[in-house]
Amino acid sequence: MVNVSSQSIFDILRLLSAASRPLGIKEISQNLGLPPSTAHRGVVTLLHEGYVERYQSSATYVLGYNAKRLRQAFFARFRIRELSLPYLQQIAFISGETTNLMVRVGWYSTLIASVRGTNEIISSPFIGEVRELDRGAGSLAIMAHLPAEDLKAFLDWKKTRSLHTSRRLKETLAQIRHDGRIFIGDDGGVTALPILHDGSAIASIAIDGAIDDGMSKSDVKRIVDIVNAVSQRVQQHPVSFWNAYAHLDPASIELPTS
Amino acid sequence: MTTAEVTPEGARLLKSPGNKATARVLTVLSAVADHGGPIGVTELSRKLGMTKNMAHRALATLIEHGYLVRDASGQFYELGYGVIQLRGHDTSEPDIRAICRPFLEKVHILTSESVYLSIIVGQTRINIDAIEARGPRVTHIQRGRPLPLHITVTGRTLLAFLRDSEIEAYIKAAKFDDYPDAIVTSGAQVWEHVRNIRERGYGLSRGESTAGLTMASVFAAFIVVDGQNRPHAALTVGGPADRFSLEQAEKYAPRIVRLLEEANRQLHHIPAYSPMATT
Repeated sequence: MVNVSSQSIFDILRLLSAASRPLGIKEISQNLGLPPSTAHRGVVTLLHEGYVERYQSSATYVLGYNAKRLRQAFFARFRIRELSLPYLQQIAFISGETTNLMVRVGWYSTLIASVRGTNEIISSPFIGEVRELDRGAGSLAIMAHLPAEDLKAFLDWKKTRSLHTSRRLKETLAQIRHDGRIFIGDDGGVTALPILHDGSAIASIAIDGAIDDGMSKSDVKRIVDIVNAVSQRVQQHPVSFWNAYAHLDPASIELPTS
Repeated sequence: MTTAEVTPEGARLLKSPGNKATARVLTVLSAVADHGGPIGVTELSRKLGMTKNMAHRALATLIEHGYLVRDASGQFYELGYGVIQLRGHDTSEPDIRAICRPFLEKVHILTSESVYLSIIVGQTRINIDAIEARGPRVTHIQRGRPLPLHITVTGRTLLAFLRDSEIEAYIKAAKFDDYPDAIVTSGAQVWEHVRNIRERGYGLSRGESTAGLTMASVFAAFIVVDGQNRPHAALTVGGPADRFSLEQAEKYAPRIVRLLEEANRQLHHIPAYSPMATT
């Protein structure tokens, strides 16, 4: 009898996570280069533990309730999420734009909450999206407040993986610290502001669009005030909002970026 | 449970020792997630009825894949960053504004008056959606302008659905002197209004002057709650008193309450934010 290894279990989970539709045993085995019998055993084990479920009683599979529960438990580890959600609602209402919350995990940022804007054309980012820390406005707003030695460690990490970094990164980061926010023009544009405690960024709030262009000065000021209000709430009880993964060596954290 | 979906052949497969070890890895992962905080190997193995050795091996596998991490002390295990990867093709998140929008529209059609959706942010209420009536209307809303909860009937209705201890905490922190002309200017008055709202089931108010209103007006505020009866949001309808009288508001109220039962049903399984979580 063939036993299914933990490795193939995790591979199957990853594959189903990345898939845009339910997958059958044959597709799973082909995609992962596993014998069909191993793929079958893996799916049966995952099914039994609630990590995978049958898609509408077909012979195809999607992630199960336990996988979804795990995700919720993961987000709950960032208490900044619960604190920020009503403030994100407020910003989305004022700006009409989709408003997201990002946190740092190792040398990455990940999107942990999103409130859709009221404007007709809205983007729909996916929760759990991962980027390297120098990619995108939300990431850079966090990165701008890293201590110098962390910035150096990040650049070394990028180098060892031969990944490209903007030569103007340091200037960009200095500019963010000066302006208190950053606007990046690609994908219709995103404006991001850090939630700060003690000079470092607990998280960032990223708003679709260029808030300085489309909005009245008083609305922009109100948005800045809201982000400051979140920072103030954090000051009241900073320990609660400490990043759950801050004690890990960032270089040991490997995540798939999109 | 999905167990029922496992075929007899599948059940036989699950019994083989190697597959059992793999299943154990998933059981351990679920148990750590359920625990909600850091958990040690002794407690975990006791909870799951497995030997410490078995638990250790499962934990090591999960750490290797990033699904678990050691906590800062190194003694306990917590959910890891690798969980981000579990995404699935359904990535939509519940959105209170999107869920409530059709109900705002229905109440607007029913009453022809302005309708607002408000939530608690800290010690204040803010509007997150609105449909404004045509012609003379109650107020030119300032988008997202926060007002302390005790100032408006919307805020007081949200407050009335919090726990008594939370209301006490609010009163303790409230700056009543900032709004000396408000209807409510003391803790005792907050409680009086809260009792009225709880008894009636919704908030009702005539002629508040604080929100920059220039004419007599009537507001009725209705609550949208989760399965634990915690407030998600308030839906407020308001109009000039000569068009939207207290009597009219009372006449519409039962129909609006019935309409919102459907909203409550849709929001039943989505826990409401704890607005004062850190205070």
